[in-house]
Amino acid sequence: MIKIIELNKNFYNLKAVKRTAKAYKELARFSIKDTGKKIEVTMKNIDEDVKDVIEDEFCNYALSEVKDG
Amino acid sequence: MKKVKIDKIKNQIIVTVDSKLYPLEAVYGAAYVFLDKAYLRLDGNPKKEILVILKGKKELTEKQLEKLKDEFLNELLNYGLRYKISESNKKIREYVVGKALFSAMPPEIEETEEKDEDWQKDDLGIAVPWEEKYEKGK
Repeated sequence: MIKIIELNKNFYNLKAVKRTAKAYKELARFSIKDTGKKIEVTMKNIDEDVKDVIEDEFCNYALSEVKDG
Repeated sequence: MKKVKIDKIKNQIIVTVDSKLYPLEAVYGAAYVFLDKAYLRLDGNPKKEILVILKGKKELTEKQLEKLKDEFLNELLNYGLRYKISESNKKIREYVVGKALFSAMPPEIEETEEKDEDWQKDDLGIAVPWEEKYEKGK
């Protein structure tokens, strides 16, 4: 299963997204792409237990990481 | 003005915030408070309109979604006001901190010049060089 999240660069920064991917590395395989206005996060091999919530949890975690700089 | 769109099927609400009324910092502040209560995502243009997408962590009824929205708007107002106050008090805050730091500095040590110092006096004639003292006698 593959999931793609697009995050607006006006609100999320690449550093925060990378830190989030690092924190979630046990749950899926991540690839991050900077497309100019957006940050595209592709998730593969998602853990079955978290497949329904990983997208939303990832966004929340990324938002909290933005706060931390 | 804020626009709100409730999407019961997706279990989410979209609040459109005018960034002229509520700065981005206020939106971030309110969003962080809600990280435990809901899933949040920010989108839009921070110079015009900010889209805040709030999604329930559990399945929510329309009433509960409405309540979530109202709570978020209250928090937004709270952070908006906080931001405004902190901006208007910025100068006085900087002044107070500056003053506190300045008064905490140790006082400068004044250098006093002692003109008549004891060591300069030579009552016993010790400071006279040997050659000078005994050459006179020759």
